[in-house]
Amino acid sequence: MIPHLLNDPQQYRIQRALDEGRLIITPDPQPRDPGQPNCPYDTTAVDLHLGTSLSIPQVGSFNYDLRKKGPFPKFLSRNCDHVEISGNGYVLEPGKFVLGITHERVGLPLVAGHQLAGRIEGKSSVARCGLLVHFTAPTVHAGGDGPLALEMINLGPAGFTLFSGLAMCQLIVEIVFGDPTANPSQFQGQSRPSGF
Amino acid sequence: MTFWLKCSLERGMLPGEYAVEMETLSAGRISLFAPDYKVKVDENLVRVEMLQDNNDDSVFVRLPAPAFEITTQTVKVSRSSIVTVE
Repeated sequence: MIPHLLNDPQQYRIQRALDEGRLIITPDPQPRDPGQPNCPYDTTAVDLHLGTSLSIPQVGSFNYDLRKKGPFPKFLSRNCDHVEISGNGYVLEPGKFVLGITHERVGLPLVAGHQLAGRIEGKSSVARCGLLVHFTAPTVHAGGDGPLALEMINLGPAGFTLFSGLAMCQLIVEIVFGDPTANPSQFQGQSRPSGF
Repeated sequence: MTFWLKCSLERGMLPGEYAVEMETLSAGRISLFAPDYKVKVDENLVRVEMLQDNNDDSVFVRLPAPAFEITTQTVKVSRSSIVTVE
């Protein structure tokens, strides 16, 4: 608990959410006070870091076709290589695509009336090198728990060295209106299971 | 009480996840990625949320993640495919 932060809820809502257990980030990003050096927080986001593992899709003589019935997750998993990032880092060459995960685990417990959701976005320092750190799937849903997947592609003109602990993305926390619980309307085949 | 759905499991693309396949009554055979804390690898089970008992041989459950083949996380499965843990 950082008592003085509670005096300014507009500025420190992410830290408050952590203190209140509505947001769980493990390990806890430190220091929490933006006045301190290397603080991972600003007023709207907290930095997350690249973990140690990468998943590298193999080049193959196949096409992804989601219309085909079959165990697509198993197909994807069987056709990728798992790599642990060494101390020298992993150079993501231009035009290449890899999956990574955040070092931090993010949890958004279901709390009636005080629910949070989140999304991850890139950081400008990384973006200026031409690296996308996620695309199409930024949402951390209410009730979610776990490290966040990063879909990384290098659109820049040169290789980009990925290393464990790199401040790779930022988590933005959003307030959910209404209580995100399962409801009977889900039985009616709606296109999205949750109404938030 | 927790509810688990019979399935087949393989290592996923990322650490901490598994590729899961399961049979449903409402959508046939479907597949998804699930985090490791929502599967029992040795028993080939994936955790689900029980939503409705239909008082026949089927139940509605909520899957732990979106499946590739369908647009809802709610599916109908046979009662015999559910394992209940007190």
